[in-house]
Amino acid sequence: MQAAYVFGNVGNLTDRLGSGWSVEDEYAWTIGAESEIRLPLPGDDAAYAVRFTIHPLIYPDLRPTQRLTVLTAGEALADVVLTGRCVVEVPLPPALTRGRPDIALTLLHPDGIRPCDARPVGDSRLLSLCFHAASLVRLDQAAADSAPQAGPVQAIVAGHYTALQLARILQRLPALRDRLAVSYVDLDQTLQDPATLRAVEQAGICWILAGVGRDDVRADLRARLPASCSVVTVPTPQCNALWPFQAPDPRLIRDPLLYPQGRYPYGDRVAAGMAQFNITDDVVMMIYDSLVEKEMPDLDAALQADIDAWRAQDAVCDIQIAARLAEQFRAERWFVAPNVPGAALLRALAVRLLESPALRPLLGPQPVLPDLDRLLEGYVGRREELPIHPRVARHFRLGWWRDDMTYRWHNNRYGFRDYVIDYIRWTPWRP
Amino acid sequence: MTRSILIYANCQGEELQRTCRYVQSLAGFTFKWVPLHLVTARDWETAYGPDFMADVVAVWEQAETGPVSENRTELHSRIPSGSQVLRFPPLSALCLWPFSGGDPRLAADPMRYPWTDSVAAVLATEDLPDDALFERYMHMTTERMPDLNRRLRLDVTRWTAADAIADIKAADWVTQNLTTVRLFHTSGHLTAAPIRFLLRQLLPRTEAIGPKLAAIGVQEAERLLRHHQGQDFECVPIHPLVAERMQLRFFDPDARHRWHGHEWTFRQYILHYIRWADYLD
Repeated sequence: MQAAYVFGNVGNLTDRLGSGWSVEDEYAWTIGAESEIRLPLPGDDAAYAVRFTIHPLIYPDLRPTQRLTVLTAGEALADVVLTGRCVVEVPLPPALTRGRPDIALTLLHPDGIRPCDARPVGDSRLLSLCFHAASLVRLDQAAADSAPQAGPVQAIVAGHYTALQLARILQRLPALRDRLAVSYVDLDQTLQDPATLRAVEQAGICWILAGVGRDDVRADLRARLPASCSVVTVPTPQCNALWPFQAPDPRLIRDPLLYPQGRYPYGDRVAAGMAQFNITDDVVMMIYDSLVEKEMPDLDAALQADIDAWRAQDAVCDIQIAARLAEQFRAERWFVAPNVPGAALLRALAVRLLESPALRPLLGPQPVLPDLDRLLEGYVGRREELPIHPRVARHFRLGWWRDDMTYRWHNNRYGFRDYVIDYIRWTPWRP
Repeated sequence: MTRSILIYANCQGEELQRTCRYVQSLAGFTFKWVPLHLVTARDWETAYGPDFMADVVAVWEQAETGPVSENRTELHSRIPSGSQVLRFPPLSALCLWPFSGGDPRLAADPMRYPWTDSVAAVLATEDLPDDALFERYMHMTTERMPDLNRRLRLDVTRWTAADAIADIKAADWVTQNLTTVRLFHTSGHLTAAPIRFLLRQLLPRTEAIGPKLAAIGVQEAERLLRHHQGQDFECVPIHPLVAERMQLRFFDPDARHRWHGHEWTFRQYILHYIRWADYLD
């Protein structure tokens, strides 16, 4: 797109409209039978087309269609019949656009109707077409856009949620567009979808996340990959140190209709032990806090156990991440829940994926990381952030944590206190 | 026999339905939603036939000003006789997003940023660094800011017109709360506050539920929605100058707004929008 034009008082074409217009804030109606517009041009030698987004005034009983003819210097450039909102492409004659600052267009719209003649309203303007926006496109560029591209390399990211997110990230990086076709394979589901099977059988690169999914699906995936496919194993670190009271809660039941993962899928043994407490919120919280203080495990040992697990996974993977996680544990929000990566972890893993030798030939000279950073800007994930106990956050001196921090819980937002009280009471919540 | 309450409405009806499904005291009722903005002639023949309608004891019908649509006529012809029909107004606010005009990119890619900003659209082809681009946007929007009082008056006129054909009235409530409580995430998507308001009106007036159960149901719904963010999967930040001119007391210039899997400031949202940047769910 070379230029964007917007009709209406807040747009950029109002001073370019001649006779035959009724301009409102967000659009412009053609009135009468003919309208004039002088469309700005870049003034270079390229050939252009303009694409108008138009909504015709239609009354199915009285005026089911609207005709539009676009003229310039007496030459008809387009002649269309509109039945609903659409884009009308008008190729502009190069002889009248090359080196010119603008082009004068005449729009003929002979099927105008006064709304007051069709419905009990007070609008007596003779209206036909509502113009919303337009874009100026180079014709050589439009042709290039529609030309068949050389087939992209097929890539697979296999695992669970983290793999799905990594696949989405790779799919959206401009540097890889048209060069890499990325498919996600859920390692918890038997491979049977025809499109997925095709992608697997054509894969040139496959990233397999370790430690998740079914072994039989993993084996089936590996067996189906072509011999030439570059297979890279990727760790899927988890974190328990930030949530040290995790334990099964006997109240947790999966309810397929309302709570498929259970009402509060992350157990808290201190909170679960208070399930029968029928006292005020303030007292509940006071007791919870004192129990937490008394029962707090050795957090440094818990973190060391996590680090050991990350290192153990690194040892059997092609990509290593443990050292980075350990070094930056306080500064980066690697995890939003024990098994859910935060944006920082997704970024770190995506960077490692992009460093895969099999991918390097596909990456052009332009840097990829600025695109990755823009894509992940403000990313928090869509579903759950498990609140962190303030004592835990303070112990680890988490750089990103704040006293008044709130957490997304599906479509809810809780502070730690509200979450814990609702958890203790096993309060229903609405996704 | 099951008893159903049919909600005929836009996506705001889906919010009512989803909330009521989680209200345990209303478990004896099934809440069904027919999306008035999506339903097709084929749907009436396949999904919403006699079996679907047989157990409907009440209808919560979202009113629409203007001529009666074919779909609404179809609905009316199918409601079992004796079913109570309660009409409630659609809630929307155009005045908070005064630049929601055309964007030519929407024609080819209608879902990426469906809540348009026509000033941002005009800047789409500018090749400027972030700071300069945002400064340009702020300059242009300040220059082109329409008369917001007039926009608000137009909204109030629409709210009042919808009230006039509805059993539940909302115009006064929206007018009273518009500047103090965030009611809208986009011009047509609601926060939890209006959903609570609608349920407080609809449940007690629904004869099949009865006043006692309705009172319990309202309390439960209030609890369910205490921390709920409403239809927040796409939140379009409000322009700071709009907030200033409309004296929006709830406005926080540093607030982050959810956009699918992201939370962005106003500046981040505008820059992503201008660049039509991809994002994650």
